[in-house]
Amino acid sequence: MTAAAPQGGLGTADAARQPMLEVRNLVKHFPIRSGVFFKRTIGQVKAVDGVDLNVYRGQTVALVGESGCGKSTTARAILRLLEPTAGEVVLDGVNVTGLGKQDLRKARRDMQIVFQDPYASLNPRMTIRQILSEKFQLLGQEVNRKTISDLLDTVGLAEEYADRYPHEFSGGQRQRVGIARAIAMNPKFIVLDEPVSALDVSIQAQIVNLLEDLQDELGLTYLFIAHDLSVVRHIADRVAVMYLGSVVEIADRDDLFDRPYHPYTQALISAVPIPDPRLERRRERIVLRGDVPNPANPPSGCRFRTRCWKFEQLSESDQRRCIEEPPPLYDVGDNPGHQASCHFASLREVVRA
Amino acid sequence: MTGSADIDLDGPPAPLLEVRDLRVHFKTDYGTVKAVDGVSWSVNEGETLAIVGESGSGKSVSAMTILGLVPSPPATFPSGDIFLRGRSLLKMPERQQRKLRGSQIAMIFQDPLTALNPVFKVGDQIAEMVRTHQDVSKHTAKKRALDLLGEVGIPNPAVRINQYPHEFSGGMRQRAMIAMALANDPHVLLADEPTTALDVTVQAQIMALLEKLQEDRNTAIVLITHDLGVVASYADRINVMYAGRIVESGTADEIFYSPRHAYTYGLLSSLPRMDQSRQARLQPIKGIPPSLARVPQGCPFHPRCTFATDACLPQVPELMPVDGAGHSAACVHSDRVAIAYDERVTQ
Repeated sequence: MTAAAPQGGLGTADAARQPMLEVRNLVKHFPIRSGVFFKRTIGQVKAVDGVDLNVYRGQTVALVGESGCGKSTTARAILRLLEPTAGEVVLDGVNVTGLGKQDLRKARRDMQIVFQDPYASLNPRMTIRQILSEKFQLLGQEVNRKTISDLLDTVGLAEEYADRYPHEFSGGQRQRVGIARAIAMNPKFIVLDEPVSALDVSIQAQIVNLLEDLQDELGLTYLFIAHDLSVVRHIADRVAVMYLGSVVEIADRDDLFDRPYHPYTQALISAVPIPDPRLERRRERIVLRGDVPNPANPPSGCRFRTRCWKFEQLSESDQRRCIEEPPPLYDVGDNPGHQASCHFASLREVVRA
Repeated sequence: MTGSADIDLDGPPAPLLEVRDLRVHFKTDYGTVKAVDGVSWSVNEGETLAIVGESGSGKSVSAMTILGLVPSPPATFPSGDIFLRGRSLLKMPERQQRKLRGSQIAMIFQDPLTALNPVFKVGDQIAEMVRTHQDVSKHTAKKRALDLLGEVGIPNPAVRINQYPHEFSGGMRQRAMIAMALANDPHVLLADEPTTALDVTVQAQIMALLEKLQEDRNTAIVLITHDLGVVASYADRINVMYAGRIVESGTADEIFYSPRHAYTYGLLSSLPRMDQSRQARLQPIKGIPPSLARVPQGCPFHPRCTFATDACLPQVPELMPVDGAGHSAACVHSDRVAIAYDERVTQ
């Protein structure tokens, strides 16, 4: 557990506190343009379509979903690496969406990101020292030998590595450098965008442990973007499941895995194989039909209905409701803070059955 | 099946596909890279053999060698042979080898976008595969491609057959590649990380498809992967590879419930589990896998191993039978590993 948030993940305890990060109705649309000389906008890819999220101090919230669900775009829009189309992001009382260029740069000190691919996110022509010093120089801060060696020490790298280039490092070591860069300015909040997906199994655990240690020591707040639900179950306090640009279910970690209510969450969890052959022989997999629809032209009503296993079992009048009426996120289950957006949400055990 | 005619009545039937003491080395400026260094395994009809390992453990190279996809030079093959129903593949003339590859043994690659040719229609690529190995007309081959696309669950095959790979989604491309692999009814399917590039719900679709095809056709599947979850759900037998060698071999239950090699133990201990509420802390394996050009002396895993003693240093441990008929491990401390694993599980 995280030292900074003894009750991290418990909805009731959180309610009294001010969230570190508040995301309100975040929208990011990408225009689709056509034409040779005069580009006309002929449509919108609704990558993120109204996301609300609270992340409390010292907590880890995971954003999960499949490729194209908008989880990375959400994270980037929060940091304003992509300019949000609409919505509001408040980080520790500062409205990030309203900031001008200068103020935004200052605010970025408090919000950082670790990228998925440690091979693409480090400049190959800069030494580790240069990569890490750049951060301080951008904000006009003093940087000396000790700053860098302390930083490397924090992420478990020896000082002698400082003058080497990224290609001399393994994937796990590069990801340590990426983490060092993110924590260099003592941020309050870090987006971890699939930080362990590119790493081998035996290295993954090293990086996950490092991230947890840093959270304990520095009181960091994480937004963890991932598609690997096993890692999410280990690291997250709260989990939000996204599908086609919207959050379809959000709950505290154990609640989400043990008591999922949305048919998509259930299918997603049931599709993850567990490294336990006897359990696997017993488990029933929900196999969804087809692929994720094109986000430029999402289905009407509930966006998941075209692949939904439950939709197929509904009566015609119930189906019409799914087709016509987009389901809102509403409270489900017995535990506070558990919401799902499905007209016919009901509990189904999928981890062990 | 064509099996019965080939079976030797005097002895046990030869395995469908057997790899014996295979070594694949690459000469580089940094020394000889021993990508595969003395690997033996076999697989039979209807069986799924998983080859598990991390990047650079040599798991893909052995499969590529079977299909003759490893160019020599730079590769050298200091030892080894590959047998298909008891007949040596490597001793056959090149033309005969080519005939068997793609027809009797087919491969599914990890990344269907790079494995399919972007400038040819999907249907034509499948039809080409049919015509390479069967003496049929263009029309018949196209018809066969259409049937195959339907069989692997591609909706609207009549439309899809005339589309290009970029018009397919990732899951559809992987289905198209499976259709291509099935074009000549192979007996063995080598699947190299077939679902790694896909989302989990699509992975479930593809694995369900492979299971069904295996059931219908009694195909042997060699599943090469790093994903221990996939292995636990789909493999009958498992070979764990580390630094170019098989370090442990056994049934799925043997590997997952009574691992006898320190590396297997380490891998299983380092995994976060979706079915368990948060473990106190993950137990990573320290260090990183060795470069295959500089494999450590003795047991290649010893610098990262928590069980290592001086006994690990003099020589590379051989794969030795441990309890159970088919269960073997190349670890000096397999007894200590067994005890440690039992203690961990009962905790």
